[in-house]
Amino acid sequence: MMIRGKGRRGIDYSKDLAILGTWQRWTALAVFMVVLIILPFVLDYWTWNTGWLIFINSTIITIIAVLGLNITSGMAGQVNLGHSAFVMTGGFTMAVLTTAASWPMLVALPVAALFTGLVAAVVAIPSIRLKGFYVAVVTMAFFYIAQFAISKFDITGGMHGLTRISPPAIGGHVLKTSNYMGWFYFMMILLILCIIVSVNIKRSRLGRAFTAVRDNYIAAASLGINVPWVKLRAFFIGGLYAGLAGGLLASSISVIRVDQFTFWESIWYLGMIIIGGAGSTAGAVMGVVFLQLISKIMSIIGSAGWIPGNVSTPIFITYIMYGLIIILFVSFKPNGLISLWQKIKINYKRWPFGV
Amino acid sequence: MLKLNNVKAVYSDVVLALDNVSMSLEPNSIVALLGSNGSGKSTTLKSISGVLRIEDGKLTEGDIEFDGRRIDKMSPEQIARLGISHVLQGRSIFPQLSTEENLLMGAYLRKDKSEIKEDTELIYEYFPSLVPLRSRKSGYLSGGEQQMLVIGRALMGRPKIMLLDEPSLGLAPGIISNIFAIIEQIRQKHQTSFLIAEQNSIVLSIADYGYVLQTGKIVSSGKAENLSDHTMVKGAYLGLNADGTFISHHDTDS
Repeated sequence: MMIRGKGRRGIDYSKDLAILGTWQRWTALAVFMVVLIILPFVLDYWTWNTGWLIFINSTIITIIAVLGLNITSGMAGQVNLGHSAFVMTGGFTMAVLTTAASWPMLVALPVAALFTGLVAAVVAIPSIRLKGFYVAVVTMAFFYIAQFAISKFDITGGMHGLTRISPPAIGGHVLKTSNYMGWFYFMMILLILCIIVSVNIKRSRLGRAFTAVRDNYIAAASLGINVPWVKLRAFFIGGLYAGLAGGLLASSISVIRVDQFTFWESIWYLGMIIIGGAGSTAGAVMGVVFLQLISKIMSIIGSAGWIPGNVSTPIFITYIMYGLIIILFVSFKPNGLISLWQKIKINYKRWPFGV
Repeated sequence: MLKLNNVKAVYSDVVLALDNVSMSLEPNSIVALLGSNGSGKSTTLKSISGVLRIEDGKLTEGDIEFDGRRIDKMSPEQIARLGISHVLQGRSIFPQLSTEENLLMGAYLRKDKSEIKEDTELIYEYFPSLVPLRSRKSGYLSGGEQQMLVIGRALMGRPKIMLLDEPSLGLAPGIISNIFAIIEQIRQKHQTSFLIAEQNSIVLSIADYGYVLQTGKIVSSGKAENLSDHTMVKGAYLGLNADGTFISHHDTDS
């Protein structure tokens, strides 16, 4: 028997706002949580290698980073071309705290996130009273400044970076770098928390202020909203997420170098938001998963030898595809995958009458 | 309550938009600001609300006082906190926020949650057509509904003064009459003063006083009933001859 919605009659406003207001949604969530819990075991049994787990762990880190950018750029409308520099900042902060200062990872991680948030807010200061592309220029400039600065200091390991970054340890039990399944559960818990926070920010007074500043900053100012302060907070929160992602990246692979972070990553992060649907938390997740899957498929095809050329050819083709897909979405589906999903839901509820 | 004293406003240090403008707004009154396009009506309102500086404008002479306090150097958020609410021209909704969320943005500076809820219900009493649209994104509302929404949103801040910039723009006559009737209701119930910039003559039907602007200068002022009888106002803005009949193109051709 197919489960179908029967329309939404007699719903009051508070029920309309609820995210998990129906038993169908609670059931879907429960099923999803069960899938998440058993996923690593399924992958381990079916694939007999850790490739997919490594890929999923990397995707989780990317989702956390992009959720932050979604708050800064998607919700608040501030074009941030330096987000990968904030991820880098978080990673190196984590690395320095755990190696040079010997801090435990679970203490260093939130500090790295907080520090990155503050750095992001400071970077935004020169441009928050301006409009247009100035924010993009300032953040782009920050990327190159950060990359240059980090590569020059001994404490950050210079061009060689830092290694032997501490993994998390609870009660003497250490989460080793090679324990991909353990890292999956650890990072999934953090990801779920990040998603909950992101969704609640959007529904809060601050989230509405972000949207107001993005949609019409003059009207927002006329209502008493301190527009520069709202923009600063958008950068701070986005930086928090980026710092968290960078810290997890550094700790999960126990090495961090400047050349791991490229300017192009900032562009791809923005592309993921566009593809998923700017401003939407679910859209940000969809956008990351979509592009990451493209990358994974190209990697599999490349490994199978189906693409002529050398080892780098699949990577170049992946980047070309990324660019083409972003252009196609901007041209034909600017509201992203989330709008497609919402259309599917509406059509399903109204079938056979459709929209 | 509100006074503009010899105000001169320029944009980009080059364009003179207001020249020696002086006017006042008394408590619990409605003042109309009449003028054609480019006369300086919007600039006057933006000068009061502080939005002028965001748009690369500034006051080069004169000052603006609210309850005896100078406000011309304040930021828009500081002025909003004092109780001046500005409804911008062109239905400045936040299209990605729902109707209810737009209203809540009007109460951004308030902390009293239960009273915010009561005021929201009061707005829906003034504008019952917004009730079924509470959770709809405001970008999908009609022009009239959006105009009601922005007025309701401004009211959520419990302002002492509301500055309305061409609230009738692009609306059907029936809706315009409805909106102006509600403005009069709001004035009576909440003792809110209104400064309404309009090209539409209907504003004089609810206004107590009026000013006529032309190329940034005040060319006429007076009580609303006298202003609507003023020959120049009739001809220039109301399209009426001295005897009250509409000017036809034959009159203007000769």
